[in-house]
Amino acid sequence: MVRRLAKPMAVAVAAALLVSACAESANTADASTDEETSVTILQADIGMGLIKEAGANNTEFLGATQATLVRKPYVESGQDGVFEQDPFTYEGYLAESYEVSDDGLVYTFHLSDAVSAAGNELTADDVLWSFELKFGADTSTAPGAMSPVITDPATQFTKIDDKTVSITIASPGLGTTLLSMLADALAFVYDSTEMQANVSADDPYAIAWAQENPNYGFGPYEITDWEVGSYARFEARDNWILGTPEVDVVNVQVVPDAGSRASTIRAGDADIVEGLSPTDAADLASVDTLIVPTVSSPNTSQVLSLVTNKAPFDNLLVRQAMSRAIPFEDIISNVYQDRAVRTGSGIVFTNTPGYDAAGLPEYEYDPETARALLAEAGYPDGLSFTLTVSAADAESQATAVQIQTAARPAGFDVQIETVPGADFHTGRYAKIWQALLSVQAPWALTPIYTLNLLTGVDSQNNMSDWEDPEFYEALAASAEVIDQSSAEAGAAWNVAETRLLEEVPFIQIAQVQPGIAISERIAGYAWRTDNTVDYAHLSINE
Amino acid sequence: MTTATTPPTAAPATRRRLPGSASMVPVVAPLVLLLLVAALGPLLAPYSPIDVVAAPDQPPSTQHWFGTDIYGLDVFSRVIAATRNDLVVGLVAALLATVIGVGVGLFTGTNESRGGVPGSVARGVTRGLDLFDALPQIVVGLVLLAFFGRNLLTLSVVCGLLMVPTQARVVRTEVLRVRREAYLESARLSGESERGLLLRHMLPNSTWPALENASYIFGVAVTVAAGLGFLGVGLPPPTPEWGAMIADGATAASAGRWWSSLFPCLALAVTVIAFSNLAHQYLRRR
Repeated sequence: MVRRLAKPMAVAVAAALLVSACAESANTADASTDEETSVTILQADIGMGLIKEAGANNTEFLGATQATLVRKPYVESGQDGVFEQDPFTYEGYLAESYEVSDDGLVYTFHLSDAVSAAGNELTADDVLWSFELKFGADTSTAPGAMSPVITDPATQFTKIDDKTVSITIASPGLGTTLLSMLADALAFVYDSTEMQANVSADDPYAIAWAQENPNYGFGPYEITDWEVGSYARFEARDNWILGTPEVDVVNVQVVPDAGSRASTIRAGDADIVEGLSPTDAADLASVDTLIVPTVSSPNTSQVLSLVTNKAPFDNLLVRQAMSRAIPFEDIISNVYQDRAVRTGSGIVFTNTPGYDAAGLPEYEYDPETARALLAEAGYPDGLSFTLTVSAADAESQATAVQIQTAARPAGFDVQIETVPGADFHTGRYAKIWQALLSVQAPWALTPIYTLNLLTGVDSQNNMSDWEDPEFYEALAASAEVIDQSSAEAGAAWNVAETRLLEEVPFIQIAQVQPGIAISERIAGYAWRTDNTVDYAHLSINE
Repeated sequence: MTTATTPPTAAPATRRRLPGSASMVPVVAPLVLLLLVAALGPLLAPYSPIDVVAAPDQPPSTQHWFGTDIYGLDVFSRVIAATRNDLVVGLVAALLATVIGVGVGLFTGTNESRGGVPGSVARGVTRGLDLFDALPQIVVGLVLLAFFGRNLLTLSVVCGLLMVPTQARVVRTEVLRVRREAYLESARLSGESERGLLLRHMLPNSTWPALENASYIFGVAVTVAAGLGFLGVGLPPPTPEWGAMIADGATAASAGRWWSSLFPCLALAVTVIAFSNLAHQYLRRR
């Protein structure tokens, strides 16, 4: 819908004027204060929720102002000027270090002397309060997202002393996922002293207060000025635990139209633009002065969910036929301009340590086989179904058109239905449609998380409404393996993934590259699993 | 005497008619062309308008005269195919708005000065039409389509309903004028019933403006349908419809890929201008 509402030409002119004005302002600052460095970033209008638990939030803003116990380190990617998070390694951040008990069930974190933007030193109470908030606030998504690793912080979290916290998990195989979650936005640690001073009867966790007072975190920046839907200004903190960031000021401007954002950075009037369409990203990749990151295993993927609680996809043969009616390669080249990859049909990331792909079923476009499967399922003349997509998701609409064309010779008459973004979110969780296209981007890339993400029992995210005891049994057995990077673990996950692929509750179509472009003036861009820009890792090229 | 007067009057009459017919050519020709394209669309389109036939965003070429859109659909074939859909919307909307508008206009025009229930209802309907007309058509269209669903029929009906107040107001105004005409009073004095007055005198004498206005309604309905399509609430994709095509190509146009939105824009403009011109010509001649 956003794309359709855009009036690109007018917006382009407005955006260019706006950004030019800001760029001038930044340059003026550079001239007047030799040491101040600034970066201008253009974002889509993704909202400015300033606390994760408020529901809608801007994860990038939170990443700049908040911090986690551990983090995933950055490593150089195969592309010059681009770093990548290593999603399977964890290092201390607010915790100086951590240790794991011999049975793999207890993780003990030793806290650093980090100081919040409000001036309070980090304590164990901050960790406990933060997780009490995450599991107590009505608007928090943490309870669902962190299950089954963290289900009850009150019993799992223990304050050893002011600077030591331990977390106990139910199964040793959940350990790597625990660390991964603790490194992501769901696990920001808040300044409990500051927040508790601002609670009220109507706002017991100070969430409403935090929306208006964003500088209560331990992150590298504080927000000094902002206007919802328009701009935000971040200034580096001198007392951040990892040192002062190299970029002093980050100016974020909201430019709703993707084409206008692309035009602006092409003209040299922005340093980083986010939320580019694949076509614009592919275009900008050919510009010498820009970097368009291509990472080895992107975590954003497009998924076709086949809702199994109603015809026709309550029939396994029909689902299997559908898996042969998707033009994977056409979608990658036509919709994503080759800025997407397909590393097999599985959903476990193939770069996971110990990954085992032996014997996994592969989905390939094969309309004849699809037609034969449909006939076997009782549909010799083919069948018609409705594929629902969000009007706010241009790539899913384009993918739907590709599927519609390619699935026709396979015997599927695909009727495309676009619904407004809000209705799409409601409907997909209610599982009311026959099939739908959505975009998934798991932050934690461990096998248990990715396999559980769209299949959980009674989970809203289980959009296919597929609950299979045999799969869950394999999943539980895999989680019992202590060393999750071992071949033993890989083999165990393979059993669960094989079952999933045989049952075809959903089809992962492709992994999509980040839609971002960076000026050559900027160094240190690092791709993260939350697909946000880490301002603290940026620097200015001489 | 009679033989002497007939020939001189015939020739000037012919000469007067010829320039008039010639002046109608620019008015009628685009309409004929549009109707032909709508009727023969499937024969004229080189590709299926709903199937991916090439890589997306290909510029105009000998293979794809108008290029391909963001999906890889042939823009020329879709512009052709959309003609039928958009004209159907315009036609159904104009018919519906005119039929309902005439009925409502007759009712309100003949009853609103009366007392009792009919008068109250007529005045209420008139105020209701004013209120309905004051609401933005696109917003009302969004609500109605959300309620009735999205297909060619509902889109046409919704566009027609949006135009009813315009037609009803035209007819009501005309009825108020006709009611004061002497021939109506004569008919009433000669014993004509109220029903007879309505059907034999008011209806034929007060509906012509609405019929002439129908071509204007046609153009507006096509524009509204395109507007709804632009907002993504028109016909489901990839059904060819000019408004949706313009929206699909809008972002690409800002990045220099102008072709997928330009051609449906032109088709829409030609259609609206053609039908508006027809209405203008009718009004001018009256």
